Amino acid sequence: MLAKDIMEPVTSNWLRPEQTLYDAICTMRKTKWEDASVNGMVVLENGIKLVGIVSIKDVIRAVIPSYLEDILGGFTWEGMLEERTKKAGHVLVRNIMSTQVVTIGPDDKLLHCADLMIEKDLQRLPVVDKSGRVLGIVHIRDMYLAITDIMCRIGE
Amino acid sequence: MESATVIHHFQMNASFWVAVIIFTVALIVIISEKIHKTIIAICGASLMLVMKIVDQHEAFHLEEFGVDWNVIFLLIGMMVIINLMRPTGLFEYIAIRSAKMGRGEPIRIMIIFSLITAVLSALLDNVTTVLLIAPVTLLIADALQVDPVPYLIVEAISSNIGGTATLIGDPPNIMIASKAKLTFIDFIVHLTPVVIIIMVIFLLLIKLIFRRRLQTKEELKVRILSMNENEAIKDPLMLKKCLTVLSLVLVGFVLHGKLNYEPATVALFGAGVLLLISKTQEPHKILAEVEWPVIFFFIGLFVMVGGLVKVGFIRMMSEQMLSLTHGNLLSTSMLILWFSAVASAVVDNIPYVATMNPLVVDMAQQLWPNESGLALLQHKELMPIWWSLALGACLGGNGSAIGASANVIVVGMAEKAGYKITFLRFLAYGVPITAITVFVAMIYVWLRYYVIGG
Repeated sequence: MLAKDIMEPVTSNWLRPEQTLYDAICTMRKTKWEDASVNGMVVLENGIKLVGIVSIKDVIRAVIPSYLEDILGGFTWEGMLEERTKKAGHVLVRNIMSTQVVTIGPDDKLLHCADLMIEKDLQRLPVVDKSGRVLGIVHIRDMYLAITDIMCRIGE
Repeated sequence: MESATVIHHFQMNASFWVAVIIFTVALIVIISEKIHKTIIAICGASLMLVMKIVDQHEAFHLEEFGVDWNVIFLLIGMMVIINLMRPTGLFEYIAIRSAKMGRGEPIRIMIIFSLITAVLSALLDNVTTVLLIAPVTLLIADALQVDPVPYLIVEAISSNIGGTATLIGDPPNIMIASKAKLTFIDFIVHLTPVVIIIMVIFLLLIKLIFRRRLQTKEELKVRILSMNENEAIKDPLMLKKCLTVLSLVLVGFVLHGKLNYEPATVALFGAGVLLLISKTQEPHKILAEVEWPVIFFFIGLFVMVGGLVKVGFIRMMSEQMLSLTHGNLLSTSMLILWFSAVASAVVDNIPYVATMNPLVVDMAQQLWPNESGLALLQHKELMPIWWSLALGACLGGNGSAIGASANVIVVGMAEKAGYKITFLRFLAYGVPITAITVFVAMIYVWLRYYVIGG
């Protein structure tokens, strides 16, 4: 099997860097793939150029203040999460997206994709053709479904 | 006619121009920030060697033309001590405790934080101090729902003022002390008093400017008061070890003149002892955290400036300076004070002082050709010049967002937390504060050394 066989096609389901995080999350929650809302999307500049990716961890990270590292970790107060979340909603996608994006080609073998996901701890891989156009996205869940489908078929 | 005789003292030959060009180009690239300053310093220094402006023996073994290892190892020693100390949580403990002492009142917290920053900066380096205090500041400002930017700028400024007070407080002082063979106590006697005066004025200004502007709600103050500062202490045993060694090191600094030790000896001994009793199995980790780019920046600069000294450029500049002030030492020290302040606001004060140090020594040699050694370096009439250089270079760092490393760090941390401190916003605080503090320093130098002392 190849990446293009299991990917979620990217058509209108992408984010813009100048969107707010609030906008982005609404879009993600409305977009369904394989019976569930997606929890990660590519960020395209002018609808063409892949500049980043937003996923669960990026959203959570946007809520955590930068100063709350090791020693100050315990110093929080009741309602801090709510306050920070309200603030984070106004942050622009460009400021919280992951910009180090690992991509794959549509004809890449699935095992290669699986290896990338585990080795580099990635939740999704954008599928990009030779001209740089984003064709789709392989979520880790797609990979899991592909593998478990095979297992169940053997079991039967 | 004077300048004609000047030129006869040395030859303006090819190596003169090569050295001047290497240094000037390096300085321009450093200011432009196109390439990292450490890389430029290493390249510049090695070019001085390759072009045979200075030879390697001079660069490595002669203080006059090369690296001042006393500065290098004092910096490394202190960095190691601080790196071992940071994870204990002591600084966060102090900051949160003092925020509670301010009873959650924004202006009171600002003044207390400014004071702590100044005191810590006098004992540690400025960058470390703001690196430690800025996260706590952002936390407290978030809790009180006030703008953290004025706090952060006030802290950067306080760290530059506080750092001026002691030999170990700011790199320019470390360099000046090593060059002029001054002791820790010399700095306490001559610079600490004026820094205290400056701090008092600065705090009064803060209170005047921000009292009305910084307000919070009563219910938010409770957030501060309910914080438990003890949670910050991560390793009480290590903390005790650190405090013991740090006190020993401070005692060592106080006594180094009497006991005839260089400051670097004290710092290195402290670092060694603390590494030993910390029982760390990973010295490579702690040593890797030494800010090697800063260290190599110093090394490179020393060699580059050594080249300038050797080809006679520094001699030419010092003759120019003396002819400009007609050998009058009061005007020379005022000129150095203000020029240093402006120069340090624009350029990194480290290369500036590295260049000024040999210039001052050269000037002294011209003024008192029969003196040498300590009698020359610490000539009674030369001392105000050293203090003017230190005050101008340290306080001038407040002039702009790039004037001192502490400012750069604060701007960076604010940005990471989502607050943009523009160059102009920093200037709006920095320029008036620099003008006021340098003015106070000027009055001090004039009164103490030329009215009372003279």
